[in-house]
Amino acid sequence: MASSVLVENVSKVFHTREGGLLFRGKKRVVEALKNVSFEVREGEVFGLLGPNGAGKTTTIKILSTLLLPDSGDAWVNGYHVVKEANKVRESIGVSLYSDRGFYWKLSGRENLMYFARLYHLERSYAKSRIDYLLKLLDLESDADRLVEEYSTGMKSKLNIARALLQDPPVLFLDEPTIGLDPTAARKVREVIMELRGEGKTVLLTTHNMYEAELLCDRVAIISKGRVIAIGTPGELKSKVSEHKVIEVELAGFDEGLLEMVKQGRGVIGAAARIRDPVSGLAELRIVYDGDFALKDVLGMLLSSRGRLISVKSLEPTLEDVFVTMTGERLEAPS
Amino acid sequence: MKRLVKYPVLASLIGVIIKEMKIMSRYIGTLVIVISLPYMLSGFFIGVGYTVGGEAANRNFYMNTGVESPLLYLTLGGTLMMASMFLIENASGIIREEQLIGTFELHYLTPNNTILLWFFHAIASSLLFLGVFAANASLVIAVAGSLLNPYEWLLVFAIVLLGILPLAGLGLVVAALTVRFKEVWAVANIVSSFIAMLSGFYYPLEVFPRAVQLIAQVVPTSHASELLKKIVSGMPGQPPLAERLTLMAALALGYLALGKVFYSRWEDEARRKGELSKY
Ligand SMILES: Nc1ncnc2c1ncn2[C@@H]1O[C@H](COP(=O)(O)OP(=O)(O)OP(=O)(O)O)[C@@H](O)[C@H]1O
Ligand SMILES: [Mg+2]
Repeated sequence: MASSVLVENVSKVFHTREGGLLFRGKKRVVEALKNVSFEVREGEVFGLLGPNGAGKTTTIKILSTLLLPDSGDAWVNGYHVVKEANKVRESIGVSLYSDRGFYWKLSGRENLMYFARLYHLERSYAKSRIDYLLKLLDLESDADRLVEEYSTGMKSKLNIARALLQDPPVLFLDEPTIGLDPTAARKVREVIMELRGEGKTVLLTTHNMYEAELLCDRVAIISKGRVIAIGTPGELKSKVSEHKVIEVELAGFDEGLLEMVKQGRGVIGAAARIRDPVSGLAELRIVYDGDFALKDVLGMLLSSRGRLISVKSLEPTLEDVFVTMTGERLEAPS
Repeated sequence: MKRLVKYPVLASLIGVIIKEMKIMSRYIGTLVIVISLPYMLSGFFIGVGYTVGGEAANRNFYMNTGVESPLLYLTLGGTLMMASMFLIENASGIIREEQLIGTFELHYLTPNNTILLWFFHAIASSLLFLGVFAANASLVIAVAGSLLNPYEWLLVFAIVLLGILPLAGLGLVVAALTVRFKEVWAVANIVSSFIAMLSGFYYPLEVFPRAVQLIAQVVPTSHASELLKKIVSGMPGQPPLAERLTLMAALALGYLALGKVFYSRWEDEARRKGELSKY
């Protein structure tokens, strides 16, 4: 199968300074992407899965020609993102934010019409295309209200409608369901599946592993600017399916305890999510092998200063791939 | 069904003009200020003039400007000043504004030359000001008891456009130099005040020393305001028109080229540093 997106050894470093113009703070160097390579095949829904700051948006921006890579190459629809930027732009639809990117004083329809003109769509085609997209995203009844009255969910959907304006073969959707309620999120997922049915290629980012599993044919797990695993959700999960997983709720958590658990016999990986910094309420996710490991780990937890609240035994998920490979959890505290 | 238009650049221009007009019509307060401020300022300056000059105010004014009606002179000057300030601030501010609402980088995803797109925004504002200028000019001319013929109107519009459009180039220079610090408006205000001072909107430039008058020669609005007042007030001894218009056209090209150079440089850097998306 032909590749719609091909990324080869792309790196990106940001140099910034803390503070403002007058009181310039120390320099900061952020390595946003380190030698990232992956391929998205034609007609596939591909997910970039990673926690905050992993480099997902940076990847999307480079692929949509908004940001130049420091090194490496990338092609979209066969066109080079730096040397053939115009051709790339003609091939893509991009949704960058969930609730920004609109003129507040224009209606949803007027916003779309403006961008349709900038995409040089012929007037009557633009009109029917906009009608179709508004319907597709359940926005018909709100189409003529000013965007300043829109809810986050409506803006998110309008963003996706805008990305689809020029009916491009390749779509980049950055966190398409972030901040949406379950109904709106389901709607957006349905639309993505519909696009897949039409043969479009979709590259989306998410830090929600359920979404990745649900939507994506293949997933690249990305952490701190590196791709650490690529495969179908099934393939990725098979890396951990032999293991066992528990999630432990604990008050009075400290990092020392986590380090101790990680060193435990039979422990493959462990990571914590702090739920409440004041009381030290945390959720530990522990991937391990063998019953002896469980006994050891529970022993450590019980003899620690922390107070054990609950222990759940779980089926391994994509998150456990992440936990074992990075020692961190995927999702920020909600 | 046909999908793409035959004249893509025209489609973009129309899109920008419609968008800007709609948005402006929904911020009605700004429009009211734009239309009425020149009158308020005229009243203010006429008041100051009488206070300083007393009975002789009108005569002195005529001797210095060659125009009998201070209202006409000041209102036309004021309208042009509003237009020039608005253009500089808009051309630079629009980039900041669109960054804030998140529409800025979306323009970079469309198959357009972005500098041209920002210039189209300046054209949209200019069209608005042509309307405002026509309204204000008709009114003060009518009050002064005369009329302009169609040829004169055409000339007036051409001069207004040639005077204010190049300032968009200046706006782009300001934007390119200051967008990084997120305080575009501060610099834009300083620049537009200097332009206003050197344009002689409210006084003839002869009040300045020779050196300042020379600098004013490269400010397009100084020519515009001088020509307009002469045409509208039907003054004899007009400056050689063709020569002036050529000079203004040359200045316009220069200003816009300057804008393009600075903005393109910023854009290249912004693409590398990730500045396009910052807000
Ligand atoms: N324009 C920029 N200037 C400086 N640093 C930047 C810029 N854009 C991104 N970064 C940094 O690059 C890293 C990756 O950011 P990126 O936005 O790609 O993460 P992400 O995976 O999209 O995260 P999130 O889930 O929070 O959206 C972060 O450390 C971020 O601070
Ligand atoms: Mg992001």
